[in-house]
Amino acid sequence: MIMDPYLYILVQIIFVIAGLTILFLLAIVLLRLFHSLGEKRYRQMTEDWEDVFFGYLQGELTLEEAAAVFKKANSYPWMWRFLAPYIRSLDGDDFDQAKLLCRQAGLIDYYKKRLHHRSVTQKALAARTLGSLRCRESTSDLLAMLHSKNPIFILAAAQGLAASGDTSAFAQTTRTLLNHTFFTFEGAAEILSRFGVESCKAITAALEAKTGSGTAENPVEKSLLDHLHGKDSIEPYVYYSLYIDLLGNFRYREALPALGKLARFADQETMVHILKAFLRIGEMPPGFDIKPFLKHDYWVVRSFAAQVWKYSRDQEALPLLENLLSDPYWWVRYHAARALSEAGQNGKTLLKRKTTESAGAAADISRYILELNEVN
Amino acid sequence: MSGWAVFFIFYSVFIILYFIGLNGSYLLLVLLSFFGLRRSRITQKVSDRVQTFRSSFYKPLTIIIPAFNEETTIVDTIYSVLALQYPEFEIVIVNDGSRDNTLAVMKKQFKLRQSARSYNLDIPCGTIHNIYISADYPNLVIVDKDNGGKSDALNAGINVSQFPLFCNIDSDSVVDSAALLKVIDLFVKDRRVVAAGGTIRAANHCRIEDGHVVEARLSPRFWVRFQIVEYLRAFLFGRAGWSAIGGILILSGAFSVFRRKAVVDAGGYRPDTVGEDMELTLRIQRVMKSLKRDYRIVFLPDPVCWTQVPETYRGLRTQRRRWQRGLAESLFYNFSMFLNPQYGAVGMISFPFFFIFELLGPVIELSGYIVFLVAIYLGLLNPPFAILFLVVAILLGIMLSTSAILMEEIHFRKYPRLRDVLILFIFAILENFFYRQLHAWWRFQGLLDFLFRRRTWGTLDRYSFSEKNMEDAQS
Repeated sequence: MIMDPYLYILVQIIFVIAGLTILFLLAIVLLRLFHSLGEKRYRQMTEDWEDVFFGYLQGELTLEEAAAVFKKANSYPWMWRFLAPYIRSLDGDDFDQAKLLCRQAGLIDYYKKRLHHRSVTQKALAARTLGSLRCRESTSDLLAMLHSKNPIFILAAAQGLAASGDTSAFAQTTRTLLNHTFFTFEGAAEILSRFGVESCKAITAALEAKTGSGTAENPVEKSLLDHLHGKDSIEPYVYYSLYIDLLGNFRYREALPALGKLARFADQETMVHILKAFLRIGEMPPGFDIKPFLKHDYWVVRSFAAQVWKYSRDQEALPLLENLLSDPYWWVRYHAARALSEAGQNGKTLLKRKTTESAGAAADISRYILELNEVN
Repeated sequence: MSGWAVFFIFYSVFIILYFIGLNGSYLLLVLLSFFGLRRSRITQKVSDRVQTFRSSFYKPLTIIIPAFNEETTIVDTIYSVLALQYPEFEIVIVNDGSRDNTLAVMKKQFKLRQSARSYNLDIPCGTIHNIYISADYPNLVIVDKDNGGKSDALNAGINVSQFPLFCNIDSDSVVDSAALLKVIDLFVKDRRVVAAGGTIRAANHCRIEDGHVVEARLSPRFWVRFQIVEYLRAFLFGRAGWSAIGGILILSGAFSVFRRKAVVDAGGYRPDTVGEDMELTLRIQRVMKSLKRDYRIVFLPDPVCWTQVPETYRGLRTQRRRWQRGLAESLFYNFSMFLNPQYGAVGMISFPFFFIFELLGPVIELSGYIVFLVAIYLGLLNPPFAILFLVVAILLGIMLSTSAILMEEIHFRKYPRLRDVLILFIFAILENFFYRQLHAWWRFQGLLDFLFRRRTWGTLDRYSFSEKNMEDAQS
């Protein structure tokens, strides 16, 4: 019987769709089975690995003996899955020992090769793994990856470089994150903070060179100084803000004099970040006058100035704080009221007086802060 | 040739073209979502959330939860939100004039006391009577206001919120503990992102402990099972596919995060629609374009919000009618985006798709069934062709649902038992035989509700997650 061509096409389509559906179903079942078997095998292996790993850290097993057990399993992704939580929480000698084990077992070489793999996932995971193991010998490969156009590679390389703590890559990583990604300021700062406190030395040197109280000596410090000089498509205040935030994040007291000097001629955005850094560090440079900042035109500066006032407790600034209780911006009023509430009995009396004396914003915020204090 | 025959031929051609257009689009979406899901999985694997959680750089966030007559669920919801992993956040619960004991329950449980906290009326909203803060949880704020509907409650919450980002969560939903970190990561890694959402899944009969889903289980209720398949399809290849081409039209109201400024610029949620989530998503895009801002609205499949879905015929029908009405209202209010190249993929692809296939779909589908029956009656149909066409339609539906289940298996594997996954496959087959037709009928009714301006929200039976767990344990 000759079939109508339309019917023939429909029958063909039915076979294709039915075939694909069966294939999908089979894939679901097989994936689940492989996953279950894999997990079962992984659990068995980790039971052995735990004893070996801790035995090795406690000196009960030699490096060679421990490495041989891991090597025998011949699965580096699983080995990394097992070791990663420990590696991230280990430090000092224990970290070095664990890293040595990874090297001896061949895990580091495996991931170094994976950095050149065709698969995006493998490359990206290799970058992250080598970073977590602080393998500085991979810095050049990671820098090459950092200059790729694929955002996943940039992210992986930036995270890898930052985790490795190799500050020689700090300036380039900063530049790439700001110029070639859509990262927010906070996102970039969060990744850069993983370079560790070592980066603060270079930042401080660059700030000192900029304020004329020092010189930028090594290539990283010079690159950072170039950023501050605006030798880039990014506005210098962005670099200033980012670097100052990092100083604050590490509570880097050594940078206080440079920050104090910079505050005198900084633009309003940078000024905000300097005040924020004081807040994080928990102090201000000696002799720093907060009063001009409490009167600043930009409300965010006033708001942060009210917050950092507590480090000077300058009594001459109290009338300025009182004025800020009627500021048009809620956050300024809030922080001024908080500062007053922490200014001892005088401040609290002033706030109480405001709740009865005046109506409107100053009374509202005074009442709110007194109430919050009561709750806490 | 009789008039009926001519009409039938034209209509058949139209139906076949419509069918090809609809299923062709779905197949493309499957492909797009496959790559989109893979990409987002790689990015998540590379990201270090432990480090992120410790970071002091992340922006604080306000979580807004509107509550209307939620005395049974509100305490569980608040505890689940309090337990979320995020460096700094405040929770604003908006009691939208509940007539039950919602406020009293919260007052007792969280030791609320009246607060003098002030706020700016950035967006119009109903009268706020009182703001309360908790003596036990300083980041918990309760807003008591006149009843004005969900949109109005959300607008009040936005006014009271202090932080640059806000997240809205439905009071009958629980969010995975790391969901906020995952979704905020999108805002951090791309400064153009103004709104982002995650996947919604059915929480019914899942094991919930301390406000978190600890084991995803399949509900024995068949209405729920149909919805689980639907949700997998809608999110894992629908929304993920649209997101891959920048064509997101809706972020679910049950869990989404917005830049506060973008929402304030857009004028907040519109109170005269039941599709407030979709309407806002569309309006933000219009406003951002008019302000010439580079923006992104994105969807991330992994942050999961578990919500109670209707378990009864009545509840499901009410919800689907409302959704269809919401869709119609949202598209109608933002119709200037239709085929407007200024809006890129949204204007040229997803808006027309939603208009033709989602909004008008039930009309065409139901008329197709009617014409099919009439044609059989009049003897105008080529029976083998009709039967084979029907088989193709059903098989395509099954294949698309199976592909969504496969994506779930590849990327998430939320259901721990293979048996549950296979049951979902059976429901992917079953749904083609009466659920799909019923669904088309409800959506058609929703369209009529829109045309005749019937404006009811309807009620959904709610239960406390902890009570449900007890019931399940006893049964």
